[in-house]
Formats: sequence, structure tokens, C-alpha cells
Amino acid sequence: MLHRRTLISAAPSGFALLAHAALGARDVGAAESPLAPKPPHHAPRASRVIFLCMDGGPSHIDLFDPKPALAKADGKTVNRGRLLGAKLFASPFKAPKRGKSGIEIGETLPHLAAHADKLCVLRGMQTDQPNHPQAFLQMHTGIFQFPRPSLGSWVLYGLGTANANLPGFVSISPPAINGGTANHGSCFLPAVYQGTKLGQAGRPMASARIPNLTPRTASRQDRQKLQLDLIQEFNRQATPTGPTDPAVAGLIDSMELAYRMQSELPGVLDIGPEDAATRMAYGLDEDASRNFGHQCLLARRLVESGVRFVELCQPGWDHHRGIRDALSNSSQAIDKPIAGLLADLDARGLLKDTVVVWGGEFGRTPTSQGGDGRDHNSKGYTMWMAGGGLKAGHVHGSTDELGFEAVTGQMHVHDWHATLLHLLGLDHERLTFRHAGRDMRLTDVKGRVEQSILA
Amino acid sequence: MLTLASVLTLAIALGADESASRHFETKVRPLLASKCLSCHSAKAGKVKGGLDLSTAEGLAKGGATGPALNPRDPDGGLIMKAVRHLDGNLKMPPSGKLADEAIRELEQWIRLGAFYPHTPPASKTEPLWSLAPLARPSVPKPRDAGWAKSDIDRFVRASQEKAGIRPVGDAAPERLFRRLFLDLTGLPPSPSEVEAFLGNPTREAYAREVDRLLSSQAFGEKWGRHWLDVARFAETTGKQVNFSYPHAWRYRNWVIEAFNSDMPHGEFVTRQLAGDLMEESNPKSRDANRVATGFLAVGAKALNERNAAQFAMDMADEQIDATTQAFLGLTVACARCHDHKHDPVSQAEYTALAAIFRSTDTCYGTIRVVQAQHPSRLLWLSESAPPGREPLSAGEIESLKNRSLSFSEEIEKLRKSDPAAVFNSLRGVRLRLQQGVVQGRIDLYHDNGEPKRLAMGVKDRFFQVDVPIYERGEIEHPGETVKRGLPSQLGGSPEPIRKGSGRLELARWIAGHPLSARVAVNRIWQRLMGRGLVPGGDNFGSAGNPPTDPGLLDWLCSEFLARGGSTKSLIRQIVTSRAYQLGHEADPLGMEKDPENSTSWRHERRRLDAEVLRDCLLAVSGSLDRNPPAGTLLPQPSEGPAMTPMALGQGEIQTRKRSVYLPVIRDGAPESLALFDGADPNLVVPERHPTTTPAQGLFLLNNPEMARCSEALARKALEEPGTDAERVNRLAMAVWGRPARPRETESAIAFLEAFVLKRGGLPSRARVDAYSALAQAQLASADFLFVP
Repeated sequence: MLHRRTLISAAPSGFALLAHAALGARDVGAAESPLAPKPPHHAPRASRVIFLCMDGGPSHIDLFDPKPALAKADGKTVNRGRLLGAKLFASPFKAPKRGKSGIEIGETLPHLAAHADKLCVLRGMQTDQPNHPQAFLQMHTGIFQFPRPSLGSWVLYGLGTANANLPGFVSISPPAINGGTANHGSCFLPAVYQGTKLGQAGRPMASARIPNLTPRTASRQDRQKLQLDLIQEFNRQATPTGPTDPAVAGLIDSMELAYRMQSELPGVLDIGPEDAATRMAYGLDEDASRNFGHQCLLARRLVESGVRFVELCQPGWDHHRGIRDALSNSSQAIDKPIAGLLADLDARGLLKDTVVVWGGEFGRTPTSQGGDGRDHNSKGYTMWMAGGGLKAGHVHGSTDELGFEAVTGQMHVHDWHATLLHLLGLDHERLTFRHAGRDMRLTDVKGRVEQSILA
Repeated sequence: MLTLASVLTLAIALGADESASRHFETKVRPLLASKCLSCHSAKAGKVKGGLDLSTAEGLAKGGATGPALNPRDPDGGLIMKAVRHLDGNLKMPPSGKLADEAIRELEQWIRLGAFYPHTPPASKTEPLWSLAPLARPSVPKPRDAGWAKSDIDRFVRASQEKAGIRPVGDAAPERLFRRLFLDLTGLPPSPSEVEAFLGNPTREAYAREVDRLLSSQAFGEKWGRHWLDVARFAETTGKQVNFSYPHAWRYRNWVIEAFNSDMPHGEFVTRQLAGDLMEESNPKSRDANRVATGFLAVGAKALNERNAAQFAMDMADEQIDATTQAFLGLTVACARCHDHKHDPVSQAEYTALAAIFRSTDTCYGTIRVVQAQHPSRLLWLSESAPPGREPLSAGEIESLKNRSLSFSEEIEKLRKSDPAAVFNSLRGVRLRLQQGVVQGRIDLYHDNGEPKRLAMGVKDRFFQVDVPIYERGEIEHPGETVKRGLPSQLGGSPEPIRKGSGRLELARWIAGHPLSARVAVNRIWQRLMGRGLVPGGDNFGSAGNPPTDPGLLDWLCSEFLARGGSTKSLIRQIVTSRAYQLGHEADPLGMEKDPENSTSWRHERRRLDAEVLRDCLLAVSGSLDRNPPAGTLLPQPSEGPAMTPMALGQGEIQTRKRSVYLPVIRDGAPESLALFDGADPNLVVPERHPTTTPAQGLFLLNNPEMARCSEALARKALEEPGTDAERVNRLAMAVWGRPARPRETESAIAFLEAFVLKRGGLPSRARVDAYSALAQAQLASADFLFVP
């Protein structure tokens, strides 16, 4: 890989102008890409992120936060605010203690359970709203009331990317709803920081592709380089005098990246070279887990090639009804793939400086809906992280004895964002971008780094 | 208490330096907001223990158990005791102890004098600016009087002067000309039109072009598309089961026609909400008025919702949401579950609106089949209405019926062998779906094969419905019943509606509301000037931004209304102003002082909208089909499941008609539109936010359609005699709408030579390839992709 990358990046590029995109119209002396690696604020514990996004709000109660008291109170009526008159609903699943750490993991995730000692489980998660569009957007952009850049865009803006020939932020199979592209968009950050989408939620990975990635005839590569140079020449002449228009600078930038992406990306996205054992480890040999397994395998290939932030998405966690079957099915889709990913990252020495994050936009109620489902719960739920800089085999925070609300170690989405940035060497209060007269942050005016979960 | 208040005032006076204020705003206010105010805020409606922490006064007053804090006490008083959990009976917040760091911030706050500003920064108690009656402000007199060509310019120049900014120079005539074409029609000027204008680029010639473009069919197609974004127009139901709306095209055409006939804005509003209730004796006009109410019917619907009451409430909610956002720029639907958090709309007022829509029969079609439980009637139009599709022959009808019958027979067979399998097995579900598709198609025709003249829209129910206030918006918890009525806090008449659904009253109230004009005018300004006078996305509630130039906004509104709500007149006024005609130079001083360009000191380049980009590609390559289609371009129109191109494995929809006629399939946008930020038809989209991405770069470099258009351009250029330089110039005229500059010609010719050399092979073929690559490079560059 490396020799090819060096060759391509040695080619002349329009980077002198690129920097304008990030800095507005100010004069720029140094010819540096806005995507070039940037020094972090402090020594990082990890340098890349894989976010396993569970769209729909997986039940903490049935997966990572078992509630013995709930089993005893099954069927009892509760009288709490929104849930007036609802009946408690014991988990139909067991959650045995696993590994040396004894972390409890629901029986529907047997393969992941083998990695219990790698996980740092956050049982005190909280978000503002128990509605999908708001909570999903808040998980990705910090707030839902206004358009804001996504988490991956902030990270890319803060750190740049290690491989200039690949997108620095890839979002695989993101949902079209719940904010859609805003969840990987760059909003007011320069467009070069937005996520590149591969595939779409609900459609098979086998058909997922980055459209238009292949030049019409492969043999035309050298001529296409001529053509690109001409395009960029035209673009530079679009502002013959004076400072470059930020809009044009952005265009120059995107054409440059597009050209380099088409050379390198197809190889990275091709899982053909992976051997049978690896495919099996990721669950590619089974129908239930093939799709997410494909995503996980791509995630490894992408981070290995220098992509800074990869987000995967597994939809279907909105278990309002029939949670027994539905949660089992959803679990089966992700269990082997995630276990395979953790094992593979570990074996390749990547886990120590990669943060793997698992979670959805909220959790679910201990009460039942329709007798055998659970409603949304924003007041207490579970996410977990694993990898660089995090305590392993660790549980942080708790919900009350029934699982309604986080009572200790509360971690709001803002705190989670702050902590994640901290692991990457970024201070969430200093990672700012001037917009509309304000220094904007991912964490707005909130966020607190949870020191106690750092290794 | 008074003493504490004075202590606080003293603290504010003495210790309230900037750092205390900053500390409060960044650390303490967010903490109070997230941890305390849900129970201790008069504004939020809860003052537990008598303690109101939402204002300085409330804090000073303290609660039932005494003063909340004592700034002279290092321990801070009751608040600190409570958050430190020192007293077993007073542990705050009840949800769990604050983080140590948060408690330290509170200590620091008290050390800094417990600063609390007397008036919160964005007071929610002030009356909403946007609800104020429209005024007609006097036109300002800028010092730089000579610059202005119009009253709009006087407003603009005055606000620039206030900000200490000078506008950049005027745009070159060829840029202005192209800008005008793209903004008014979404199509580029032809080389001959450019030549003619550049031969005589006077104000009079420009004004003539404005009038000509405003009266072209293309105007309605461009501006109709803007409204279709707002109207969340689509031709399928979306959500989990995506069924077709095979009659939605009538509403689309009505919108285009409304813009082309310059329908007064008030009528435009009223007809879409209550056209069916307006007196009209002419059958054609009556048809049109009923088609207009399609606005209320084309929203997304979850046809698989099992609970009929839930489905009905969701539909009413969707209608309230679309209506208030589209016409008033307000998010009234927030009040479904609780009184609106920011704006003056109570849950009872929301429910009164819901009752209006529940007393309305929404006619959208669809059929009952697997997963689709809620078919509705449609509106019958007169036989003079265009059929929208070719009639079927008797044989075709017969064969459709036979297919439906054979599916029925197979289903019946399956039922006999295993009744449950009809519903549970893959085969059963597939059979019923297949039958649904066929039945949904049959439903479009009379028995004689003639297409039924059906439309989507609404009509009043025979009986009116009162609606209960649902606790937390939950259908399981109905409360007190509310009668149909208008939101009085927003200025609606408090009289309950006595007759009919009340939709006509609602429509007339909205049409005459000051917000209706403000929202419409702001959108027109935004589309032409690149930025709304109310910036940041069309929210006219208190969570939105105030106007950057309230005087100009209201002045434009009064002009708009004085001309009967004529969209074309307002557009004419704006595009003939000097402010519209500026160049786009990123002048350093302007970029420093007003990078957002809120004073319109330059005309920012804007990436072409997805539809405009596609139309321009087709137009410059000579393949645009300007004739509107007869009806819908939905593949296999039917009342049943939407047969999306993706589902059919066809990729993009094959048509060369203007993009406004492309079928709009919820969650199934054609790739090329999605890639260039097309509007999501699940949302009311008053403003698009174009992005620039490498994925677009890949489209421009590698998409087959790009290559096809480039080659068409190349062949045309090569057909005509002349030198390479002349051909390069002709291509520039076609693609960029201007002659090539000498440096561009030089680069292009050098490119052609190098390309032919690299390619080798047959010289004639090499030349076509080289010219195609040149044309594609022009299409992929800024002067084509941006509105100049």
C-alpha cells in the first residue's frame, strides 16, 4: 500500500488553495491540506474511532444492565410520569457474569461475551429526548435543535487524517431518516470534513458502493489526470484576481480528493482478499450476521488504511413489540461481527489505539409496551467503549434497581462526546470553530470528561 | 429576603466582572438548566418547594425552607447543602448527586459572588417579533446615496454603512445574465441569447429579459420546485410500507401553474388549505381548487399502523406540522404532547387545530393489502380534467383482471391447504403483494379502460369531530375534549368554529396573518440573495433568529401585499435592485467584518440545486425535453406498493424531462439528486444547504450521464467549422454562458494536444475523445456548477 500512496501524494495537487477552505479568505502561506494530520491538544490515548451505531435504541435492560429486582416485580403497575399505569416487564433473557471482570452480558450476545474483559460498560448514559429523530441527531451532533457538525466531522477537523487518499470519515449504511445526512454532515465546518457515505441502512452491503468510483475506462487514468489538471486550472481562473472564493476553494478540494479516492478506495473496500477464517470470525458465513459482519470487516480495513473515523450502523433496535424474538434477531446480526472485529483489531495491535464504541440513541423502559415490547427511555441506558485509553473489564455508572433512570455515574451524551474527544487528544472546550459570531463546540456549553473510566 | 436581594445586587455590582459572568454562562447556567430547572422554574411551570431558580429574583427570594444561598457563607447555604447531600432530607437533584466537578463549579460560582444576570439573555417572555402587525417602515437614506438604484438598495446600503462595510463592484454582464436565467428559470441562457445581451447590456435590455423569463413556462417549473420542497411533496407514502400516490402529479402541476399564473399569495394559501370549500361554479376551476388541497394529502403516512385512532391523529399531526411550517414558519406540532416550549401555542390550541383536521376527510388513495391498513377514498374530478395517462384497451384491462383473479385463486388454494400461511409464509405474503400491485393498477381505470379522473386532496366530513387533549400526546390517555378553533395566542379568533370543519376559517386566518407574508417574502429573498433576511432556516418562532434587517423585511412585505401578493412582482423588484447585481469577490474587509454576508455586500456563488444541475446538463448538451409529461413518471403507477427503480433494478429513472417532473419517491431519491443535496420529501424544506463533497467530484469525473452530455457537446462543437480556439469559445458560450478568456483558451488548446498525443489511435476518434474530455472539464468546473 505504502509505495502506492507515496506515489499518488507526490503528484501535483491544488493544496495551496485548499487551505483557504478551512481558513476562509485569510492569507495562507503554507501549502497544507486541511485534511493533513494535525497535532492534538494533549497526548492522545487513541488515534481512531469505530462507532458501532445501533439505530433504534437497544434495550440496556436485556443486554448490559440486568435487573434482578425487575424480575421480582414483573407485572406490577408503576405510576411514574409518562409511564403512568404501565406494567413492569421482566427481561426474558438471562445475563450471566462473563470473563474475569464478571461483567454481565445478555445471553443473546454469546460471542461478544467472550470479550467482556475488553469492555468499558457505561450504564449511566442519558440523553435529552426519548424520540428517535432528536436523540439520534443528538448522539451524532450534540444537539438536535439546530444544525450542527457531526461527531466524525469534528474529529476529522480536529485531527486530520492519516491517509490523504482516502476519506477521513466514512459512514457505512447510515439511515436516511432521523436526521439523515446531518448525522455524518459537516454543517458549518468546511465540507471537506463531512462523512463519505457507503451504502444505506436497510440495503445489503453486497450492493453498497460509493457511486461513480470507477473511471469509465480503466486505461484512461493518465488522461484523466490531464483532465483533472484542466478542471483545477479552470477553477483557479474562476477567481482570476483577489482572494479565492471559499466556495470555489471547496470545489477544488473535493475534486482533488475525488481523484485520489478513486485510485485507492476500491482496493480497501474489496474484502475479496480476506481469507475464509477471517470471514467466518466476522460472521460472514451466516445469513443473520453477514451484513453487519461485512461492515465490521470493512471498518477494520478502513482504519488499518488510515481512516480516522468509521461509523457502522445496524438498524432495527426499536423493539416496541415482541422483544423476545426481535432482540434475539438483532443480537444475532451483530454478535459474531463485533466479536470478530474486537479479536481482529486486538490481534493486529490496532485495538490499543482505536476506540470502539457501541450504542444507540437511547435505551428502553423496564415497563412493557403491548405486553412484550419496551418503549423509549432517555433517562438511563447503556453504551460501551473498548480500546485505547479506556479501563477494560470495567463498569461505570448504574441505573436504579428497575432500570428507569441513571442514578450513579451519569454520563450525558455531551459527557460521552467530551470523553471520546479527550481519548483522541482533543479538549472539547478548545476544539472550536468560529461560526455566526460564536466559537462553536461539539459539546455546546456542556460536557465533562469522565476521568474515572480512563486507564 | 430583601437583605439577601440587596446582597446579591451588591455582588452583581461589585463582583460581576466579566469572568464571573462568563463562568456563570458557561458553567452554572447549563448546570442549572440541566439539573435544576425542570423542577425549579416558574417558566417551565414547576416551582418545587417554592424555589424558582430560573431568575435572579427567584434565587434571591429563596424557597419555602429559606434563602437558597448566602454568598458570604463559604458553605453557600441551602443549595450547597442540598447538592452536597449533607442533609438526609434535602438531597438535590433527586435523580442523583452531581459530579464532584459540578459541585466545585457551584462553589466557584458562589466564591465569585453568585453572579446571576437579572434578565436572562434571550427572554422567552417578550412578545414574538414575528407576530407583530406588519408596518411600512420608511426607506432609509444612506449617506452613499448615489449607489442605490432602488429602495431595496437604500435599505441594504444603510445596513452596510451601519456595519462599516462597502459593497463590492457590480457583476460582469455575462455573469449577471446567467445568474438571472438560473434564478428565474433554472435553465442556462443559450449562446445566442448571451450574444444578444452582451451586444447591448443595458438596464432596459435586462428589464426586458426579466419580464420574458418571468412569463416563461420554465419560471413555474423552477419556483414550483421550491414550493414542492416546502410542501414535502412526494408520490409515495414513505415510512415502512412505501405505497404510490399515482395522482399526486395533479398537485405538482397545480403548483407549477399557480406560479406561472402569478396567483396572489393569499389565494395560493387559501386554496391549498380549503380550495374545496371555496365557491366556484366553473367545473375546471372547481377541479383546480380541489387539486390544490392535495397539499394536505401528500404527506408521509405509516400505512402499517395498526391502531386506527393513532393513524388518524398522526395524519392530523402531520397536516398541522406541514401547514404551520409551510405557511407560518412555526413548529406548532411541538404542542402535540405539551404546551410549546418556546412559542405561544398551548396543547389545547394544538388540539383545536387537530379537531379541524380530524373533521376533514383526507383523500389519498392506496389499497388494503399486506401491511397496509388504511386505504382512503380519492376525489373525483370532472371529465374535463386531463386523464394523465393513456387509456387501456379492453384486452389490457381484461388481462389485468385475469392476473388479479389468478393470484386470488392461488391465495385461495393456499388458504385451503394452510390458512395461516396466507399471512405468515413468504409465499402467502408475496402472492398478496403481487395481487395488490395488479389491483392497485386496475383501480386507476374505468371498466372501459378510460383512466379515472381522480385527485388527492381533502373534503369536509359530514360530522364534525371534537378531539380530546391527549396526555403527553398518547392516544391511550385522552383528557378533556376540545372544540375546533384557531390558535388565539397566535392571533386567531377565540370564537369556536360552529359550522363545518373550520378549514376555511383557518385558511383565511393564515392567509391574512402577518407571518404568512413575512415567511413568503423571506423565502423569495433567500432564494435570490442566497441568505434569508431571517437567517438560519425559516424558524419564525422564538427559537429562531430575529431578522438581520427587520425594516427591509417589513418593507418588502408591504410592497408584496400592496401588489396583491404577487410573487413575480417581488422577484422583479429584487432582481432589478443593485444589491442583486453585485459581483462575488471575497473582499478581505467584508470577509473580516461580515463573513456571513448578512448585509448583502457581495453576491455569493451558490452551487446549482440538484434539479437545476441536471436540467442544465441536459440543456447544454441539447438533450433536454422541455415538454411536461402527461401525468406521473412513477414507474408502474398503481395504488399499491411503489415499484421503485431500485426495487426494479433499474437504477436511475430514464427520462430527459425537466427534473421537477421526476417521480418523487420517499426514501428512494435518484442518486444524482441525493448526491447534490436534493430536498428530503419527508421534511418541510424551506431552504437547501448545498455541500461540496468528493462524492460529487466522483460524479463529475466518472458518471456515465456526465460522459454522455460531454460527448454530445463535443460532437456538436466538432461539427461546425473553425479553429480550435473558436471551438473552445463556442463550448465556453454553451457551458459557461460567456466567451472563453485567453488564458482558458490557451489551457484548453494545450490540453487537447496533450490528450490526443496520450490517447493515440485513430485521429478522428482521438479528437472526439479530447473534445469530450474538454467539455466535461468545463462542466466539472466552478463556472458551470455555481450560480455566478
